[in-house]
Amino acid sequence: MKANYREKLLVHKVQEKKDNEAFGELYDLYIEKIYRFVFIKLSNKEEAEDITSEVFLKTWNYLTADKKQSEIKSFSGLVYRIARNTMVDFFRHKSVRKEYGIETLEDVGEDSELLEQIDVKHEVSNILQVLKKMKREYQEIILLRYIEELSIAEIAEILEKRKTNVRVTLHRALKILKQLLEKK
Amino acid sequence: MKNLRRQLKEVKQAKGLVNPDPSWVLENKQKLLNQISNTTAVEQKEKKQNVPENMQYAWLSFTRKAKVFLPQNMASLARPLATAVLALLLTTSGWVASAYAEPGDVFWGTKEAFGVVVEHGRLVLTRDDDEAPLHLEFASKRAKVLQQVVDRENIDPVKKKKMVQKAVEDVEKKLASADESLQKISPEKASKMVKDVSLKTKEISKTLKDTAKKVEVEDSEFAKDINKKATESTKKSLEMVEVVVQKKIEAQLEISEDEKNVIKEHIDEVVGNLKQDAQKAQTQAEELTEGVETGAISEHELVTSTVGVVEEVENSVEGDPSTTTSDSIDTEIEAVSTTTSENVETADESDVEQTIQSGSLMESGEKVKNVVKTIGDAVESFDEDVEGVDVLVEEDILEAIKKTQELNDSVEQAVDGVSKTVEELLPHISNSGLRDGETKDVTEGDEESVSSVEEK
Repeated sequence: MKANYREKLLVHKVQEKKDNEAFGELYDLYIEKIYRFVFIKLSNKEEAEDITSEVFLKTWNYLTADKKQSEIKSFSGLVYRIARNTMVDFFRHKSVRKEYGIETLEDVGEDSELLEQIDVKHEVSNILQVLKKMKREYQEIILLRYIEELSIAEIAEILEKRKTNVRVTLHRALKILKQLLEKK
Repeated sequence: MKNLRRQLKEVKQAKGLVNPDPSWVLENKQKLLNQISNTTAVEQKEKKQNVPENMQYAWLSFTRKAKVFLPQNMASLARPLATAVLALLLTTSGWVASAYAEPGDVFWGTKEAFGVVVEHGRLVLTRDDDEAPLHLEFASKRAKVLQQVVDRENIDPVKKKKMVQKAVEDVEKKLASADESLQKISPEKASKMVKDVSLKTKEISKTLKDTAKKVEVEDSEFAKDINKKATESTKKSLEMVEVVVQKKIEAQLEISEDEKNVIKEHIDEVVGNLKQDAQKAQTQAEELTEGVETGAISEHELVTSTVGVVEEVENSVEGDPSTTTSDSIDTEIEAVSTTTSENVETADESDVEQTIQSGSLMESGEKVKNVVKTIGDAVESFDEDVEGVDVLVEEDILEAIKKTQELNDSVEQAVDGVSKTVEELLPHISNSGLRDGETKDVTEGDEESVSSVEEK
């Protein structure tokens, strides 16, 4: 709760005073989260870094744009939403949208060079590979809930869905992830 | 599934795999902050030249701050919160408005309702053993309200009577509750209440007596009713004092001089009132006897019972009843009172009726004599008893209270006896004349005096 108020105060400073330092603090708080969120979908370090930078710049612009704009309920909701939209734009632009359903699982295989190059635990890389093969919606929800450990309410805000919807999707996503891991 | 969740959590901790390079994080931050600083500097310069801050902007700023810092679910709380605030406002304003209300005022009902709520609240928050003082306090408060109601002027008499009635009932109820709770409390608690119980119950009885006196002028029947309740409350007050004294003795605690004095004063006041009542009853009884013996009652009967007896007189005595003189009435009375069997044979129907009524009058006369005798005996022994009580207060306070109770009972009985006899004789006797202690000499009266008594 205390952290939440601190975050609100920082957002307020950015909105009202265009406070760089406050935004710097927000950056520190979210940079790793947003990077992970982007990277898990792209599996490309450079692209992930570029997109993450872009996300923060867009966030700054959004916060400092027009004072008549509606209030920010939570910074996490905003920054993740911007990240999602940026990703959508990126995939659309590059035409490299990678959405994998269970049906296309066999075609994908273990093609990520990055994963092979880095020395990681076998099971973690395994999960990441499987996650990449899943639908973007499922990827996001698992990432937000179990990797970033956000609450259902926060996820609902980020994905602009109802809480019950989030719960159902999460349940399905977890079930599919389990099936895929078992098959592997 | 648990294992899967654990594995997913580990992803975050896998260094170098999904986390950014720390040097890039720092470098990127610097780059970003530089970039935004430049744009900010330009914008702020433009802003200073352009729009001055106005009310609209201040309001927007305020609402935004409120939205940012207040909980998000505040909106859902707003409605019940507003309702609660409104209810609180209404209650407070009602309370403020009724704070200085007096009996008969518009807000008097509200004040009473608040009072009841507060009393209930206090009782709920109090332990059972501590309830007795509260009940006593409430009873005392009700007695004060009764006094206020009685003293209030410029109220519709019917409304006032109703209010007095209700206030008396309230006093009775609260006194009963106090009595009930006194029976339950521990001896230790009761022993601390001796003085308080005596003082407050005495005050309550006094208020009821005063009320009866004040009401008597307007409504003697109502006054009689209140007087009866006052007597009951006196009885109850003595009982309550007896209970607390008994409990104190049980707790093996000594009754202090101060407490003794208070109880003595209480007993003195009760005895004083009893004395007055006994003397009043005796006077009434004596008047009754006198009336029966001298025949004044018969005259009253004939004069005042316009519907019954006077009509019969009209039948037996020729002429206009309005011009009937006292002499002619006397003649008729004499005829009736000395009725013989011969007279009965010769008398017409109305004469027979008169004879029967006169007979019942004589029976009542006997009753009156009996009552007078009882009262006389009671009053005679009264002084002795009072002296006994005075001695007992010093020696055995509990016994003194008991003796006072007995005195109270015997005087109450005697007063009741007189009152019942008067009621029995009512069809025959001029009610007002005897009750007020007046002995109207109708025999000397003329047509005017007859009609004036008739009116009464």
